[in-house]
Amino acid sequence: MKNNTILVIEDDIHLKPAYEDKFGGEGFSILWEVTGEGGLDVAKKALPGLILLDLLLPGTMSGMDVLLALKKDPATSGIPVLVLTNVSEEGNTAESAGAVDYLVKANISLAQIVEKIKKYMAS
Amino acid sequence: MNIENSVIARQPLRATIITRKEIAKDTIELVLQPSARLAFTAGQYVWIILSRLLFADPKGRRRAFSIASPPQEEKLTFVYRTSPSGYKKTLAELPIGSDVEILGPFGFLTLPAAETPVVFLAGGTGMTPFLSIIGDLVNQKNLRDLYVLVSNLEEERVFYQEKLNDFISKNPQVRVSTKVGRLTWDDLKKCPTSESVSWYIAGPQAFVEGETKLLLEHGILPNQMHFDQFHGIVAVLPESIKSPSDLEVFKLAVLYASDHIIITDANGIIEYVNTAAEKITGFGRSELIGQTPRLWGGLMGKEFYQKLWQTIKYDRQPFRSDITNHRKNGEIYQAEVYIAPIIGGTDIVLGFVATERDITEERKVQQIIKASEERFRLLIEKSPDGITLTDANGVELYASPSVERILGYTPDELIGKPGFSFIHPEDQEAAQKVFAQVLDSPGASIKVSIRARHKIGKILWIEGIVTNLLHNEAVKAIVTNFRDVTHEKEIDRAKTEFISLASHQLRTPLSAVKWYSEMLIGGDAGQLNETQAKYLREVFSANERMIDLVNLLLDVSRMEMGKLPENPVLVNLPKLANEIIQENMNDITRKKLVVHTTFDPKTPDIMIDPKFIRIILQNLINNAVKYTPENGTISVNVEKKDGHISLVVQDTGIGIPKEDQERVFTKSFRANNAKLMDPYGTGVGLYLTKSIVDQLHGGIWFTSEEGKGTTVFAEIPITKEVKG
Repeated sequence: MKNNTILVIEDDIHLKPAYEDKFGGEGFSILWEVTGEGGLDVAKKALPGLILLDLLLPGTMSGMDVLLALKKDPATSGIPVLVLTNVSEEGNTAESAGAVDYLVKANISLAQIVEKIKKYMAS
Repeated sequence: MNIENSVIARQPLRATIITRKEIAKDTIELVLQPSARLAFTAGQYVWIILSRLLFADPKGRRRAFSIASPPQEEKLTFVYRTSPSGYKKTLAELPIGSDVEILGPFGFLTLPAAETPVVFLAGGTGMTPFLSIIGDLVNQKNLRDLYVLVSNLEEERVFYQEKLNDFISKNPQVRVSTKVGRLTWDDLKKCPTSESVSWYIAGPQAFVEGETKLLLEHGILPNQMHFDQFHGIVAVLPESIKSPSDLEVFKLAVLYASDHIIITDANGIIEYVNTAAEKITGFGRSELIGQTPRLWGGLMGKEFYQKLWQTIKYDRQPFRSDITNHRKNGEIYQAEVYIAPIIGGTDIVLGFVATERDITEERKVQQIIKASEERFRLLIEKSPDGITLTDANGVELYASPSVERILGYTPDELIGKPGFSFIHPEDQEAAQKVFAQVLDSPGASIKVSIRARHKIGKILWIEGIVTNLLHNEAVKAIVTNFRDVTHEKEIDRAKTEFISLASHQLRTPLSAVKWYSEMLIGGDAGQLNETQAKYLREVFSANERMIDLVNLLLDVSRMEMGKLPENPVLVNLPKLANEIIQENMNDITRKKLVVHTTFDPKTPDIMIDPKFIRIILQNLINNAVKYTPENGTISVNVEKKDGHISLVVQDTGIGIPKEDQERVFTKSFRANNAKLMDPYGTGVGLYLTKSIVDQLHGGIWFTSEEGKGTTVFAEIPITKEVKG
């Protein structure tokens, strides 16, 4: 059975309705966290099927810190992490740190993101 | 030098040996009583002729000896080294009271007329002529700033020490130091070394040569040194002229000498000229004979000529100076003039011998060199760049004034220190590496960017060029030309931060607009009517243009700052090209364009930076789609060839007007027909494409005809090929 929960770690709350409506409409349930610390905490408790991770986050943990922490913890290391950000410099770093893909928000449509989610979603 | 009743011995003059004693090891002091009082000036030579030799000597019966006694003395004192020659052995054997003959005196030593400092460097018996001069000066109470440095090669009593001590006690201006062994620069530099100082050197040949070399090495100019007169030409001639035919040879030598030589009578009326005198002055022999040198002179001012005449006629001293004269045709020339009086047996001036050496060309060249040196010196000294010279070990030899401005250290604090000590510890290794590389490649320039420590401790970013000119005769150093780029580095960092900020901050609202219009158009919020959908599509496409623009500007700024590093990974070219075509599918469909692709599906993955290939293909395909009218055709070909990939994008679009073709790859340029077709373009796409192709060491070119279409070709070398 598929784990249909997506954890979105993203500080731009203006995007929340888009994620909730678009991804919700596709049958996914959305968990939303605006800080890296909060995201890491929820990831450990809820063990989502996929994580959408922004890189620039408020607070002490950057998206990259979160990614490294997720991959280090055996409990969360299997969760696919899709980096979805507008910073275009960190692609190689994120992928070598274990992200399944690196998407630049401004350059990808919601429909394409849905395709990616379906592709990477853990079963 | 007004000595009454004294003579110059033009014929051999009888002289009696009064004393002869060994005053030091192998050093003899000989005192002769001439049969007439001899007129001599300080530092002159006489020939001592023995009537017969007790021991054979191939050099004959006569030798030249410097007179060691002051001019006013009636007796002649000579100090000389013993030697195994037949002549010297005979002289040593002759009983006291026996007669010899003397001839002379010959040769002059003149001190500069001005009261400038004088240094005497004497090696062994080379002190003899100086003794006589010092004695003369003491008698005249004309002691100037006088330094006497005496070198004795053996440890023995310095035979003239008492005399010198006597001078010193009476005349504190005379500074004397004696030394066993060669005089080194440490000894010499205790004397004043400015250009006004005259250096007189006398002694054995090796001593004269050694000291001359030393002085030259330390910047003493040849014209400050005087030693040639101790080997005076006049003193040598009598020995070689043995017959009338020898005299003819001598006359011919004078006639054809390269220097201008004239002989005048006591009133300056010219009696003899050689060919060089005719050539230099431009006057013929007949024009010169009977005239005075005023014919080509007279340009120097009254005082000069007064001094000249005073020196040669009344002081009876040779006169040496630079002079400006004019040739017959009016042309001005520079010469070195040397005029010596000919003094007759009755102590009257018989005439003068004057020589001139034309130094016009030499002076011109010197002036050109001086001007050129001055120009380059100013260039270096006024340059805002710091310039240093270091030796092969990295020790600083020179630092330009700007170095102090940049690093805070004065040239004195830098010179002699290792250049590496001013480099940040973390960059030491890199600096050493560059230095080794520079040493290995003479003549080559190597760029370097490192951190240095300012004197007050702050860290500076330095960018420079290091060139190995150790083998260049004129430089013989490693030249580093550098500037402080700390400020530029800070600006660079600020720019990078700005770009990262801009990329996030600009793209974030654009993503929100993109996604919400996508959802509205897609009916996620209910069906829109046609007008609503039409307006929304405009919002969407305007937003897409904005996103493209932001992406493009970010790429350009990153590339211009060198922040687009090459990261080659395995890339499937056909897949990448298809992706880009897909990204343009909306416009392709809307304009009903036909797209041909001719990819070989078996094209192996290649090692290349996909970011670069994407930018190149994106721009070429976007342009083709953008500038091809409805129902047109576009072909995209991606191929792997030998060592490179070939990209070809062909369209049946509007083409590039001939007059615009040259400027297609320049930044912000757009052809007129392109502006009409798409007013939103930035003109940056092909500039960026070309810059990236250049960075990858590839090539890009095109063929185009207005109204028919364009084909763009790009070739990119493959970083590494992977078989499979």
